[in-house]
Amino acid sequence: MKPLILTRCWIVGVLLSALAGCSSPATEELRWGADASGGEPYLVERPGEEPDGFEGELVAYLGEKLGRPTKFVQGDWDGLPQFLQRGDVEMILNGYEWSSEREKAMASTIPYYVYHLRLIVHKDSPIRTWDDLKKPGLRIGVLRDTAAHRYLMENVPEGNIEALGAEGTTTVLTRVSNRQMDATVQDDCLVPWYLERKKLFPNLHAVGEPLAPSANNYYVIFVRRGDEALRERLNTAIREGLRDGTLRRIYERYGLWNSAQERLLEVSNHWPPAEAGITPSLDWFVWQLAQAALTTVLLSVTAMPLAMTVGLFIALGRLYGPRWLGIPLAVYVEATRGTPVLFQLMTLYFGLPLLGINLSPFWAGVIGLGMNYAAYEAENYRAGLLAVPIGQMEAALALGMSRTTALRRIIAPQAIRLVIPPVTNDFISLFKDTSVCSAIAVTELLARYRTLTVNFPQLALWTLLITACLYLLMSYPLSLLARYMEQHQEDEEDDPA
Amino acid sequence: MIEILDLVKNHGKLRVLRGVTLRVQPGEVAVLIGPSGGGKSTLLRCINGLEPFQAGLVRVGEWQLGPGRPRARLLQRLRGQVGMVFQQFHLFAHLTVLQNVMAGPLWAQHRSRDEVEQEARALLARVGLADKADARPAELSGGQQQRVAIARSLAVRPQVILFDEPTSALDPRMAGEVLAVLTDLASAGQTMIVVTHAMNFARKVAHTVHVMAEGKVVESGPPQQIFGQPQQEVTRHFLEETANA
Repeated sequence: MKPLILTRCWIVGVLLSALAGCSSPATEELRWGADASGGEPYLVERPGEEPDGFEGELVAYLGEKLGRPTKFVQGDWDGLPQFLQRGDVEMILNGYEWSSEREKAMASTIPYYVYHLRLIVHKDSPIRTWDDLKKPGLRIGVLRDTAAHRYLMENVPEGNIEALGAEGTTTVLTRVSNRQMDATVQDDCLVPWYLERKKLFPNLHAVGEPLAPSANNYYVIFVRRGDEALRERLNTAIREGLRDGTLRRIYERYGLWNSAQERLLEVSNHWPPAEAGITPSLDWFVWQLAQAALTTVLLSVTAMPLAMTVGLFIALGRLYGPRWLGIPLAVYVEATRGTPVLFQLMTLYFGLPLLGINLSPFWAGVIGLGMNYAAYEAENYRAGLLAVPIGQMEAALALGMSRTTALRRIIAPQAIRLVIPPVTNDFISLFKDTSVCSAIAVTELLARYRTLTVNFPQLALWTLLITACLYLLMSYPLSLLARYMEQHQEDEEDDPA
Repeated sequence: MIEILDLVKNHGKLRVLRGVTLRVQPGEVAVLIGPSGGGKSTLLRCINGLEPFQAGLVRVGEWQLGPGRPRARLLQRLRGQVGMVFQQFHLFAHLTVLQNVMAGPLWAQHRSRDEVEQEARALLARVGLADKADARPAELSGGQQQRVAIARSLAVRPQVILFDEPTSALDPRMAGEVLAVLTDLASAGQTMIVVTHAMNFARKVAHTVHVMAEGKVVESGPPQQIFGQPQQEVTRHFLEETANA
């Protein structure tokens, strides 16, 4: 008994200390969350040290003022607000635009930067103004869930928008400069940094006026609601930095200081603004999610027939085709099953353009999922065909049927009954795997869920519930179908012999 | 007429057939007997091209098979003339009895469905299974399945039917049903090559009995001669063993 009691005490001790760690987040280290993959000039990673970049330097300054060492915590940009809520970090800053919705879920400091949206195009592009973006059929890259994304969703046809995760910034600029995309809308910080300072993309330029997407176009730091003490200390430090020119000196190092920033001090006197946030109706929410659910369905019902057809050819080729064909097909199956589907999708969407092949996100998703599942379907078919006794083929041949006729009339019909249940199950998993397409800018259900959660954090729970319901609503009938077919087959097998 | 000349067949390094020569006249019932592993079934499978062979010749009417892999077209034509009935029946599990009988004429010979169906029903009546037309193979007894298999092979109107131990998987009563059908076919003048261990059937129905052992035909002749005055030691030994069994 003694060791058990000891063990228990030890466990309780560990739990208590863990709880203590959660409830009063590190009294010394100031843990701050950001997404380094969002890149420069916000953050410049330095191995083993706190990041540089204008936000990195801002945090260093704030830490110094608060008398606390800072600790950078990496997170996905759209997931960081949840990090904050969970208590993993004390504050987040990474170009988070102030919005009344965010203010409801988190507490903002006074702004530290006034941002504008810039429209960036190729120098030879016919696009000259913001209105030019409304023409249907354009490909406009944007960072998912940013103010720029929101502006585009409200002002240009939905089909024009390709929303990518934070890692996409330079990808999008590269694509616009290769003319594989028509334009990108970015926050203005990028223009002085990439286009003017680093001159990384000499054939790009910003057109149209810098655009303020809302009356309160500010970057702010967010802390948890209830952590107002920290917010006040941060506010004091930011105000001081604005007054004594520290922030200006930091921003100037990145070419970011401009006349707009001069109003920051004035704005901080009336903060937070009383902008009436529009909380959208539940109907609007459901509608937004249902539209994305439709994309999910379209992805599945397009990719699955592709998988089933390609899979059939692979299976037939491997079983009955010439020997030289067997090796590449086997390699295809093994390579496809041996690499993650997300990697395959990224290869299609990010990799192929390097070879000059430019697929739209939807078709990259369809082809990626289809070709991936083809490997699994091929194995299903192969197993089914091999499960039909060899005597069936011999009897058919002995009657004078050709091999093809025997396959079609005798072998395939028997194999199909064996294959239907696993194929139905694969259809269900493909349906769920469509969610990985959000990584390649397809606005399917999961992508829309994330966008809504980031933009309307106060409704995060509702969004979660509706999304879950939609997924279940779509997949449950499929599960029923699969179960029915399995049952059906068992009944047949139970027939008296 | 069916003619097999100097047929040689290897399974890897093993020589299964060592130069088999055999002639079967139209209307003749040829029965192959002999110890297991003597190459009887392999010979049948070579005659309809289910197994390639290394040397020799198979001639069925105007069609002729040589060594190696024959062309698919030739095989199809030849198989239209050579029916085959297997030990394990191999009925098509997903089709009804009637559809099984119609499969060859419909999908191999592309004859008209009405004609084929009429003929298939007649064949089922002939093997005593007219009432089972809509049953699935799995619902039939072994003897009934084998009789369907015979009707199925008859439906393509072959010159010759090969029977590969048609009763070995059946109990004696069901074997009797099947042998009755074979006897009926023989008296109707159907050319047949039958591999069997049913010695009474061989004695009564065969025109010629061929004894195969170790990949060769060791002795041939009318049943009275083979069963009455076997010339070869192998034959005597084999007949004694089957008599004792």
